[in-house]
Amino acid sequence: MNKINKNTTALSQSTIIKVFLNIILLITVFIVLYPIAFTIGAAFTRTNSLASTSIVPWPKEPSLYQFQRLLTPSDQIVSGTTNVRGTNYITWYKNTLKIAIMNTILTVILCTTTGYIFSRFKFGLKKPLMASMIVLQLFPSFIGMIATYVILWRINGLDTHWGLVLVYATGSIPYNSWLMKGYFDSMPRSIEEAARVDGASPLATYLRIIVPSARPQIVFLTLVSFTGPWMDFIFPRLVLRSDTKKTLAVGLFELINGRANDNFTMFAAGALLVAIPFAILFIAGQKNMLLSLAGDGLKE
Amino acid sequence: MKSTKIDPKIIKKAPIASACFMGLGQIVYLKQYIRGAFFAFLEALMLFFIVFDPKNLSFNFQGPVVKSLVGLITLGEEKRDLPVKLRDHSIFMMITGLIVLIICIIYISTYIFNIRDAKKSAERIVQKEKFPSMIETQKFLQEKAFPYFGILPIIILLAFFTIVPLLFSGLVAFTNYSSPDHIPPNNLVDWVGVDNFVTMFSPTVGESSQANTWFGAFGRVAIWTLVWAFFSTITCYFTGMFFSVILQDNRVQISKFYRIIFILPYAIPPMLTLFVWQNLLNGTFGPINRTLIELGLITEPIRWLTDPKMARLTLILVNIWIGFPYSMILTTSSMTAIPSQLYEAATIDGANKWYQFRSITLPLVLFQTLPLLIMQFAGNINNFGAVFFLTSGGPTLRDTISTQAGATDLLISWIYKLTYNTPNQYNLASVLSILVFIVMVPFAVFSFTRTKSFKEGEV
Amino acid sequence: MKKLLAVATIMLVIFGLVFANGGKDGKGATQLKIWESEGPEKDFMLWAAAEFEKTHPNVKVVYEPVGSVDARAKIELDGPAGVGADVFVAPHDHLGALINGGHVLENTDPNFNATNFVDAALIGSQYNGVKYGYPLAVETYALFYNKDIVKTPPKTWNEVVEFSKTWNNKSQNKYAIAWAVADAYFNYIFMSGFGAPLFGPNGDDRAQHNINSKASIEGLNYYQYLRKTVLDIPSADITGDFVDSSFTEGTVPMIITGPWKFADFTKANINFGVAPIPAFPGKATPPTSFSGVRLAFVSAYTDHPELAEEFARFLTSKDVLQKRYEMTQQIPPRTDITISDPLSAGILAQAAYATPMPTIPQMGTYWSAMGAAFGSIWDGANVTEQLNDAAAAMEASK
Repeated sequence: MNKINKNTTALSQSTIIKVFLNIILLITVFIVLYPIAFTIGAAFTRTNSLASTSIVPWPKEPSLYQFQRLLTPSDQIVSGTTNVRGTNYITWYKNTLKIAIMNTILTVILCTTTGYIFSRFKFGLKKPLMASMIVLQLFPSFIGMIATYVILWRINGLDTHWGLVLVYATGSIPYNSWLMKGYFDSMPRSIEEAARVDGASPLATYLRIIVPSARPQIVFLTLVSFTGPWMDFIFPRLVLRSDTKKTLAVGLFELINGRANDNFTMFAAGALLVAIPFAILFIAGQKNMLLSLAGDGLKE
Repeated sequence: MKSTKIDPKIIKKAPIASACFMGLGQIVYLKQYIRGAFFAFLEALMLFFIVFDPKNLSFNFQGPVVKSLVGLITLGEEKRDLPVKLRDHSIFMMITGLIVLIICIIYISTYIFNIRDAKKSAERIVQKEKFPSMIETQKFLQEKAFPYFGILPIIILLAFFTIVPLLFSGLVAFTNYSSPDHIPPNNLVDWVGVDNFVTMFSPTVGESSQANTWFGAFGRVAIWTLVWAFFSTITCYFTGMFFSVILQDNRVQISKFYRIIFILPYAIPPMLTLFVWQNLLNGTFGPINRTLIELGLITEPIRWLTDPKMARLTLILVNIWIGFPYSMILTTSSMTAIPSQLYEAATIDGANKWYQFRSITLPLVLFQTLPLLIMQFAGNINNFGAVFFLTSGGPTLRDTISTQAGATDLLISWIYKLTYNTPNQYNLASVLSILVFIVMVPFAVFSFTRTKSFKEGEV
Repeated sequence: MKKLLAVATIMLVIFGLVFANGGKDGKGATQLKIWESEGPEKDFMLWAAAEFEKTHPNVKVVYEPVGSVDARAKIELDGPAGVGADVFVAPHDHLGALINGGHVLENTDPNFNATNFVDAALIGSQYNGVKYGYPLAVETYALFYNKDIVKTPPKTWNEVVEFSKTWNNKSQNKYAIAWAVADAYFNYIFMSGFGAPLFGPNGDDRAQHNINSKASIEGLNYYQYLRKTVLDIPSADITGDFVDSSFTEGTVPMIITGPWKFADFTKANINFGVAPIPAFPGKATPPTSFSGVRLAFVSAYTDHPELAEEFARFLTSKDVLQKRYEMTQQIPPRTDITISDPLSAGILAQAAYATPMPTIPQMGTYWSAMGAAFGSIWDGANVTEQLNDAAAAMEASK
């Protein structure tokens, strides 16, 4: 009798906890999704105003108008209206994509090489160099942007994309090199040494053997450097000017910045179009992120 | 090459020669003609730019290098009779001066390297009793040069895109670069020593010893920045850990579904979601208050963003929404690295789940992620986006009138306002930037040096 | 070897780049760069550029989208760097800062006088007696009212208060009138309407800011009174966005806003009209609102000053401005163009009582200091204290 009671008590205790946990999870899901529902609802609103006073996060007359405005090129009139022009959203998207790709390539090349060198080679000033790299990054960069502007001006890099990429890549060098170094530290040297004994030069060893085996970490680095530049608007505003060169963040920000700029719903639509691929990327890449962060943890 | 007797004195002579003129030692004593020629060429270039003045086309020691360095010190002179285009632009002069300063430092390092290289090469030659052949030199350089050649690009990039802006930011704190009266090129910017520091940090001002509003604002903002960084980091971390534990528990089904939903706040750009939150939390019109009132849970609208203390709490709460997914992933990955034997052994010993969590999971995860946690704390000190897009630093307090700092402003968002809103006060923003930097450095150095990566630095 | 090559090349490159400025290509057509906001203003600019090129075949006019409020900050860096516009559009209240930074050239057009242009345009483009900009449009804010709810617009604030007694319903978020109460642009009426003109009667005397004068204190007290009677909402909650959406949804039948909202409200099918702002108790006329003059400036850094000035003058000629009015619905600053649509006529009616925003550089401090003060006063802070603080901030700015 007692045994049965004990089992049933254990069972019901477990059920209670299960129910309790599920309730917490469902409440959290609601809290997470509520603002997101509003965001999505805003993007489908016809008027400019984002500030809906209704409790239900859905517009009375959903319409694709904002998306139409975004996707119509800026030298054409939006269909269904007489005088509303489109925006250069598609161009901005392409620009930002281009910048993200360029940034990724440059960052991966620079940081992998640097991380490898820091890991394998010994030279004077190495420790102070590494420490100071990390420390230098901490200085708030707003005023420094003026200096960066002048430097880019001197090398004809203003209003160009490669100028922007150069600055982004440089900014990520300290932390990412350190990350790669950590990864390389944990890689055994036997393969390299074998290759060197066989007569390969350091460069060849690096390119043909080291780089391929660092693939997981490089993938992680790629993900991070790719997603970085999408929503940064402060620096590109300073450096880019022509509408055809603008990035997404700048274009979107200028939709809502200023007294007469009240295109809040178009802003929501534009940001949503960015969020969707991001979300997919993150969800798909969650596993990889887990593995590589775990890898980091193991290495510590 | 025929072995002739090598004069051991070249170990002394070569470096001295190289000290007199770059590359001299290499050419004369070491038969390193190409290397020596390059060094010599570099020095010639530098001398040329020091001595030759392109404006007056004469050799009068007024070359660009000299002019830029002088400009850095004087920050230009009044030239009222010239059209605005051609006047001295103090800030451009400062920046150009810094660029040239860095180039000079690089040049001097190269010079030193050239001397040491001469000495080392001489030692090698004397030791081996012969001059190396072309092939040997090539191979030797490939071995030794690879690391330097690999690092060189980032050194250059960091020097110009990180160090120069940083130095410039710091130097502005010692000038009066601000609007409306000190905007170049119509006006000059001057060095003012530590005046700005006095403005910001002296507790009283004037003969009547009135409280200094800048100091008051600074104190308030600095304290809030630290409080915010601490609480935001901790709340996100433990919330993330909480969910990671729950989802790992095999009593919960379809955990994958929850994981996908929970990652959404991290994936959608905060610029957008914070903006939406701002509208949701609107005290009068926002759906949250309206729902709560409708449900009868409250009678007065909650002043989420309009009451200073409440606004700070709201900021931390909304930040949890944004930040917990990342912590969740972090702690999950950390937990999966814990070997399951530990848990099995504990279960056999009769420990229940809560006890297991407290003594196995928690300590191990904390230990592993501690450096990242500290970096997150440091990062949150500078978490511009969270504040700027949710509250814009508001609500306003009494000293906002003169300092632009609101109740939820962090140092970083205050710096932004001083830089980009009229009236621009770059000099004071720079003082704050220096301060933030000084505070952040110990954290970074601490967490960085504690990591194994750093300790295992040697080959 | 490689290392030396690398070092040498890099030093060469650095030297070369640092001391060589970006060359401007002067081959072929002369290029004029224009900055103007997006939207219908941009359409007009593109049209004007095309027209100008017809009569000037060797000139290429290139448009870059730079918001009019952003142009000042941009020209500060881009001008000296040689990549700024030759002609750019900015609101006239940036004039002081532009002149202080030395970024603009004078307007020496003899036809720019009182015969052809309205007063606001002349005053707004002047600084220390010298004219600088080329006016493109004038605007001010006024009372927008929902004709379905308010048949005739109120002439005094007393009428507004009366109306609110029957209309207001806090739980349904119904209020008689709303506007962005923390925006120092609209709230100027509480200073001017009570006899405290900012920076003196001509708007150019920084010593006479009148921020904490007796009249100003009286005005701000009335402003605080309005919160209790007509619009009891914390200032941070009344964002421009909520003002607009309340108007669209019909819960707030009267708002104070400007002509940039015409398109949005028309699209939302609201039956609305525009009227002058109601008069304060004891005053006979509507309060003085800030008017803004949209000016095209010739940059001081341009390589083609005469050509740039010619283009700017072209922009202000009668036919061109007429076309601009048709394209943008912004009120042209010329005396010889008639305004026909009723909405613009409403703005024009208020414009008769408007004064251009002061242009002195200290204007920047007005925005930040008074912006904060208005919000705090609306939320109940002590009026005199707040205004004294703002006055102190204004006097300290240099």
